[in-house]
Amino acid sequence: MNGCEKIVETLGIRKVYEMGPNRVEALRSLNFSVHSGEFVGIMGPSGSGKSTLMHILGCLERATEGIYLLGGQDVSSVSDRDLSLMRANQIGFVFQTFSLIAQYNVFENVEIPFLYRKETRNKARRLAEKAIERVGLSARRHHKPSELSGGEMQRVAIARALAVDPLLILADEPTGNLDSETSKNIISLFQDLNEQGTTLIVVTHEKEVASHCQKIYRLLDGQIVNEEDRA
Amino acid sequence: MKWDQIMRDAWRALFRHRLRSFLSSLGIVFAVVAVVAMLSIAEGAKQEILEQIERLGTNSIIVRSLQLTRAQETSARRRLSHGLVLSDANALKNAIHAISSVAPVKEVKASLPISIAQDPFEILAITESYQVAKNLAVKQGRFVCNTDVVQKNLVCVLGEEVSRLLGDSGHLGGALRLEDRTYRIVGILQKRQWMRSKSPALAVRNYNRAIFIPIGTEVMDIRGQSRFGEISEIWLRVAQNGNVQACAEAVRRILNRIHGGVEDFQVIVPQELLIQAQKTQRIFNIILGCIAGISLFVGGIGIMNTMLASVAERTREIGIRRAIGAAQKHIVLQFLCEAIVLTATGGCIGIILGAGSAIIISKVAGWKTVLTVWSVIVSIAMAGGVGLVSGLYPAVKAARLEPVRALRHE
Repeated sequence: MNGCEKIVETLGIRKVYEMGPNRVEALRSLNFSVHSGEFVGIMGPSGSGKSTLMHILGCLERATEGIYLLGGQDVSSVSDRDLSLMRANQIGFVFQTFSLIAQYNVFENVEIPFLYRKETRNKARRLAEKAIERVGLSARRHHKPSELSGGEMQRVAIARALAVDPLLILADEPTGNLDSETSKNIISLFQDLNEQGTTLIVVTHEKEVASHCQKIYRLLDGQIVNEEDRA
Repeated sequence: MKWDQIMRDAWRALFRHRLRSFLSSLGIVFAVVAVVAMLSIAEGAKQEILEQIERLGTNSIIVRSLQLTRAQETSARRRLSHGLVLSDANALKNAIHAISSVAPVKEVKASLPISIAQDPFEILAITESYQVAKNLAVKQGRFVCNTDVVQKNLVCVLGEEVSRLLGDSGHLGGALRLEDRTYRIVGILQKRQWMRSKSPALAVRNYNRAIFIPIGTEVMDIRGQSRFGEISEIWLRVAQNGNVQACAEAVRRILNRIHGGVEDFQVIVPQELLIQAQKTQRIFNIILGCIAGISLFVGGIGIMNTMLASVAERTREIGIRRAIGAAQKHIVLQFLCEAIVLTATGGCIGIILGAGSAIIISKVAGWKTVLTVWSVIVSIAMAGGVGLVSGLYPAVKAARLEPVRALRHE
């Protein structure tokens, strides 16, 4: 553990999806916490609730019940606008499918989050440049996603997440679409970032990725069934 | 939000699907072309009418003699009417106090010197008050005065063009022979702007091609022409504080009584014509508004359709933007900007084409067209407004997408 401040804390959160007459309970009274500077892995089989937890932690959706504290602030019942602000200021996302905007080049993709923040144009440019440099893509800053390899695209996504200096980075199967060699590079990049103080939560089912995490939570049927502290 | 970035993104998104954007903005382009062209024609027509009415004078009343058939003339004489005569002018002046000046005019038919005989021109027998009534400015010499009328002086005043066409003999002090009489040129008028009128009621004389002589000295008497309707026109000017409509009514009433109810005259009130022209203009504007409204409505549906398609195919992009911090308002603004840029661009193209159409119409049909700043502003505002209205629903629909669902969209 690199710090002691709790960045993420969930207290008995439940998530229930109403699908017509059926109710699907994706998360069942889940208690979970992440401290500043931690590199946490969330593992589990399909349908265990990993992605739902990720979406709630990323303020993309709200829990049906329970309390979620992000940076000490209760975000369980904040408005949609405030959730957007949370995402813009405190969270960086890395998705399995890279989720870059095809018509933008590397620099523009990394610069997008600043469109929704208050930084000046110059500061936004500087921060975007710095993030691109950190992931080692300065030479490709004018390339479109279609001109990049899978690993490079994921690096752009990481740079985009890093650029706004978030409280934590959430990565959903970040190596799922990459070959083993590129996966190793991405994991190595995550490790570097973590060593520099970035808090990371990675949802994965790959043991190779999990082996680099300091703490692993295993989910099954919406509950944490195992917590492994490897620090 | 950074507006320059939003606008740049809007342009990019539209440019990426340029054919679709172009086709969907065609409705707006055609609507704006129609609006601009029609507004230009309407404005041109309005200005033309207003200029003509202005030239006639809005505080003027014109009484014109009507041509009667021989049978009608005989019937009129039986009812003691002699057509429009000089005494009618005096009667009107004495009866209506609000009338500040009365100017009877007699159109004289007489043969002219060879040098100007081929050109259309007019000989007008008038009194001194005609100069005031028609606001005629004298360049050289003087205008016909009351003494000339009383003493039947054989003097004349020439229009600028007549003087020019007569050459050496058209100068001040020169002589002009009309039939068997010789008139001394005592004045030459300043050149006046003249425009041919499409409406006979609004017809204005070309004073550059007129010869003025004192009433009573005309050769018509000598040739023994019919005395019926000796006066062609009476120009009446209403005093500043007078009511033109009331005066016109009084003129009609008095002349009807004098002429025994014979309708051998016509009272033209430019102010009434102006009101009528304004009414016609209003009707034209309503029709124009309806056509523009329907065209823009159809154009707006096209834009909405395109924007809905755009939202559908960019659902994942909306999800990405929402995940990295875009609030609903940002997504609304992004798509609204695209719709407004699309329609405003269509509007600008429409204005250029509309202005071009107006010029072509003006050249081909000979109509006066005027492109006003107002019509350009209205067109842009209408196009932008259509973009706003038709883009709002797709934009709100996009913003209301749940981020997680949008992200899962393939």
